[in-house]
Amino acid sequence: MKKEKNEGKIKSVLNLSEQLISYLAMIFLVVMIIIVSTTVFTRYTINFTFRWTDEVALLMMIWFGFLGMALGVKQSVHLSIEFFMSLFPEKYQGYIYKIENILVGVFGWYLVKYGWQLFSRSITTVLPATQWSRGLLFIALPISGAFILIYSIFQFFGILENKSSIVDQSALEEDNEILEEGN
Amino acid sequence: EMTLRLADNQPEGYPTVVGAKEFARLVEERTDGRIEVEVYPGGILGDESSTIEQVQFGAIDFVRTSITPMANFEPAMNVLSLPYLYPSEEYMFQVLFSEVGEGVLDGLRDAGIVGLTWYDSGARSFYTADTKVTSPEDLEGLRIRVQESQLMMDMVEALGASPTPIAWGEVYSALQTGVVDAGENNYPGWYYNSHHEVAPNFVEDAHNRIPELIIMSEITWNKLDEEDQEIIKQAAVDSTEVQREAWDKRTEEAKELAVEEGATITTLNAEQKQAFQDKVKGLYPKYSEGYEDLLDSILNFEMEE
Amino acid sequence: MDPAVILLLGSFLLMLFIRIPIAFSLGLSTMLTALYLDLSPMVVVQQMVSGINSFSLMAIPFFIIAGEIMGQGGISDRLIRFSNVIIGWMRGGLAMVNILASMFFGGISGSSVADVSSIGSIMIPMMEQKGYDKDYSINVTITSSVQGIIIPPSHNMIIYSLAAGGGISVAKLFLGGIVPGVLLGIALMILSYAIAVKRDYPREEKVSFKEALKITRDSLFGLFTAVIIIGGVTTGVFTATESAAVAAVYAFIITFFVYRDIPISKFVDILRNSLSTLAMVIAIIATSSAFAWMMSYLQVPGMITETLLNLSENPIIIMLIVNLILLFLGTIMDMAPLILIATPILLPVVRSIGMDPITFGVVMMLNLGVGLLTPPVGSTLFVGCSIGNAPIEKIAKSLMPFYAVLVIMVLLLSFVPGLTLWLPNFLMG
Ligand code: NA
Ligand code: NA
Repeated sequence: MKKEKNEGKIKSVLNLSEQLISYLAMIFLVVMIIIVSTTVFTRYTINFTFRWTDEVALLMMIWFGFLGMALGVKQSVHLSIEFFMSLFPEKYQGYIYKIENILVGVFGWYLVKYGWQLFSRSITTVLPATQWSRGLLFIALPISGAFILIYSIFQFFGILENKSSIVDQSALEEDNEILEEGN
Repeated sequence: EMTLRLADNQPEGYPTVVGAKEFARLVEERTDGRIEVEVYPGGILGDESSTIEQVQFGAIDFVRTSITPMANFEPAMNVLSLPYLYPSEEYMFQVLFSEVGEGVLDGLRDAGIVGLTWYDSGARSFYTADTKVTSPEDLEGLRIRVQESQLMMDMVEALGASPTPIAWGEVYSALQTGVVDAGENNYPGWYYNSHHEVAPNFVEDAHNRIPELIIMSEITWNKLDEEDQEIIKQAAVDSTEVQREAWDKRTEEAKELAVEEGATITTLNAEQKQAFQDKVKGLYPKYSEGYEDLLDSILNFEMEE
Repeated sequence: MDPAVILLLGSFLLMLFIRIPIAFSLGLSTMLTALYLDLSPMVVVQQMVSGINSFSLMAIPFFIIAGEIMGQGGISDRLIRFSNVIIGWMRGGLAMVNILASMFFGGISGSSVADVSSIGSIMIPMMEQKGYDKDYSINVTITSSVQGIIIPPSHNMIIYSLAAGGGISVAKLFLGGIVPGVLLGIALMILSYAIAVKRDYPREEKVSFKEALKITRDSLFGLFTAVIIIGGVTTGVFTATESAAVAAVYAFIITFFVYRDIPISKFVDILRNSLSTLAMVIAIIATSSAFAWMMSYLQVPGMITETLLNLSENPIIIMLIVNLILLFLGTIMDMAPLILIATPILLPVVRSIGMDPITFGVVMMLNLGVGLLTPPVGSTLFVGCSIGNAPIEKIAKSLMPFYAVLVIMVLLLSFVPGLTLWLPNFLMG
């Protein structure tokens, strides 16, 4: 009873983190579009280009990319080649997903550890246009890595579902049908 | 028994790569093959700032780079690339290989980088799509493509034009479609990227000479004994001669071929050059702040015959 | 062979095999190899950042969002109705529209991935809605996007000219790509038409002239998106990336302030949808960049090339081998690094058997373009599959006839130099 209640709490915290990340990512996306299109606008209306625009937009692109990577783990949207494993008997499928959780977790850990190192050593150098710290390029790595690690740990223990393990089979069958009809 | 790796963002056959290969040859010869240097041209290990970072954390051992990105680590580098700073190429190299240049290289140590030697990359000048330029007034209002460098942007602005940073790979299209009206580079940069096809008017104002350099990872440097350190430093310095020859040859070739293919080259007399210089002198205080002594020692350098 | 190379490729393939997501397989095998080589582990994460740190790449999220807005907000619907008026009487009419769109639009973006993200996000759902099979819609979209690489302007051609050490005219290269690009489009149209007839895709009913006028008028705002992108880039108003941002803003305004089919609150859903597509695309771009760095570091491309070139001295066989090398390398690496690596190695070889560098440039682009459509590393294929929401191996299998057309084009261009040289020689002497 108590265990389930705790799991429920953890799950809602993790879902909240997913919400936060995705809103943050959306904001970056919108700001990128605004920055780049405004650059075009000011270039022609007042014959003026801000120096920092490309750099800031790119920075957001990087943050956005790595946040998206973590989000992809939570939502299990990352692309994989299903074919070979779908030939395996059903009963082994669960183990394969556990291995996936472990490996993706290792990837997250690597991002945390070495992303942080990279961040700390580049913190004193500056980006050319904004003169902001070059560390900003890398700050998203440990953050995204930490979420990837956390999500895969909870997926491993079954507290979060690995969604790809649920939708897979039906999606595959559906695709098979479509293809067979097509041929 | 030891393989070191050198990255260069220019393709095989480019003068800097020729120099780097000479460096590799000298190191191998003088260590009797104990140390081998592999050259990775064409930017296959990353762009300049990325490979410099790799040198800092020791993933690769050397990079041939322009000094522009180095200014992010050592602001004194900015002073070396001030516009119209050196009266001639020979003057510049004497400064760089004197205590003045060595002092700047030492400043890189804090960033985990050992500066080894200086390479030539000629003088940069403007080239335009339509306008013929002989005075700063002709540049007024033109959109000029520059690198992402504060100094270059300020310089173009001081000349009355509007600096437009555009990624190197997009410059050709930008010139062709008129996103920018002009670019600036040395002769080989202009010709071998086919920019002369879309911006055929080259005006040799030689606004700045931005030398290049070979840097080494301090992590690798500390792994070597003193004797090998000595050999590597000397081999790098000695390779500069071969690199400069290759550069001069390349420049002559680029000039000839560009003219043959219909581009025009305008040279300026002393008086016309002075007009350009006067416009940008205002940048000196800003970019030498804290490095006034360095600027003075360059301006008052006594050349040897 | 270097054990590190075996480790890199072996662990990558093994992980792919056990269904580890492609992005993580690429990243983890690179990390493992870095640890084995005792390389500074930071280089892997650094290269992941470098992979995304590109202004041109930003066009991808922008185009995907523009496409999503157009798809959900009614612009696409109107465009379908309009294209039906124009070409709906023909079987597979939407496939023709798709290919034509890539000829014009993909030519502008210069990137087949950007082409698939933009045209694909609009056309694939559109085609499915009209009763085309999923595999067919994706196949047509991704193969026709290869036109974008060879029809000018193409930033990859500029990279090629640079990698060749200069002396190859970019203008001539651009001109050299036009005829092959258009030919490829026609070949794909014929194939698409044949499949459409075989699968008995519906043709649309003819509409009255009055109805046609109304549909055309109604779709004008949507059509203007294309005018913005193509007109803007060719006249130098903006770069391809900027055009993508402007197109997104324009689609936003038209959807929410002119057509008003859906409420503005839907915009969050639109962003959320784009987010999951982008999450996987950008993850793969990041880790494949680290993977490519490791391949270069281990000098894999040079090794492969050397081995294969030692096989013969016959010019025709050498030409075939060169094509094979490019096709093969293209399947495991992305374009820009490959052009930089392969050009200095292969150009002297093909020059020695009398091939013109312009021809070789176009042939190389096409080869590498095919590589973008094949697993295990094929960004165009991946983006197409994620937009179309279909499994990669299924699509790759159904692509066979399309691969055949592309390979025939590669051979045709390699052995009939006139196709690439006639136009540049005619116009530039
Ligand atoms: Na193109
Ligand atoms: Na298409």
